[in-house]
Amino acid sequence: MEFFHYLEQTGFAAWIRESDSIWAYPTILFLHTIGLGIVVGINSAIDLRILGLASRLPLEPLEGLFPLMWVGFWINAASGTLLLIADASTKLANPVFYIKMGFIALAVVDVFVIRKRVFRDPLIDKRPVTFNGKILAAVSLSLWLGAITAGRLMAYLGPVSGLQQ
Amino acid sequence: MKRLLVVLIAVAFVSGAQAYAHHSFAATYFEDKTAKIEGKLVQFLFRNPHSFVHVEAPDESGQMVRWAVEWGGAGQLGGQGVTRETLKAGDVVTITGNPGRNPADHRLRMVSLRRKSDGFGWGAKPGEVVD
Repeated sequence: MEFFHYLEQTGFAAWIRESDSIWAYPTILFLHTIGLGIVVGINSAIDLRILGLASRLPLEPLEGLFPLMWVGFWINAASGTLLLIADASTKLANPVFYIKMGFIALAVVDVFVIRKRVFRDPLIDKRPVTFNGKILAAVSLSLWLGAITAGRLMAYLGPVSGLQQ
Repeated sequence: MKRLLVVLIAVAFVSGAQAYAHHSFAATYFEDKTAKIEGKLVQFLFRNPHSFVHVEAPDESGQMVRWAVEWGGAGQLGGQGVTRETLKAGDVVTITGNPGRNPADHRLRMVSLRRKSDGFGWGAKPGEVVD
């Protein structure tokens, strides 16, 4: 945590925080939205297919979407880090931020478990997805919903940057 | 059925165009009320996502308090010709704004600002709104 407070004092963090250029803060925030669209969108589509939507679509080839999903994840890890260091003192004092990080961590773990239990199942596409597989997919959808909600509510709940002296 | 769907989507887009900006300021401020304060600017935080102007001015009971006025982000203000050098600590300003829902915060959302010394103002031109 001390490391983030240190980074918050750097000129780079000040540039993110105080620049009036549209290519600074607005662009970083824009990339954060794009990244989440990619990672949550792809993951949700796979989860919904596991749950039985569009069931005529074979499941196994969808693993080919994982690399793009990770691209989205890393876009958000990078843009999120920039947003965090610009405002570390406030964000790290906001419980909603930790809730969001918790949801994301669990959702990412769930991706790996689904990859192992569903995509590495030798009987994939030869039989319906197992009940456990469907639970994992339902949990994944809930975790991402939690992450997005927490992220959105960070704008309205918790300490406000600039409000205190 | 398909035509109905197209019509419904078109209606959704049109009504979306009428919707106010991206923030739910109503959650934090009474958008139907305004308050006016006049006092000395003590701090100007020109930053993203929202700038803040801190002013020492009397509250309703006459007691001097530190008001926090929420303004646009650095990016937005920059596009309107406001920079971090525009306002300085010590400037006497008159500000009208929407009051925050928690009176103890002494918080306003900027509607207009006027600096006494040179008449510099914000809020009258189109686009000079916090949204």
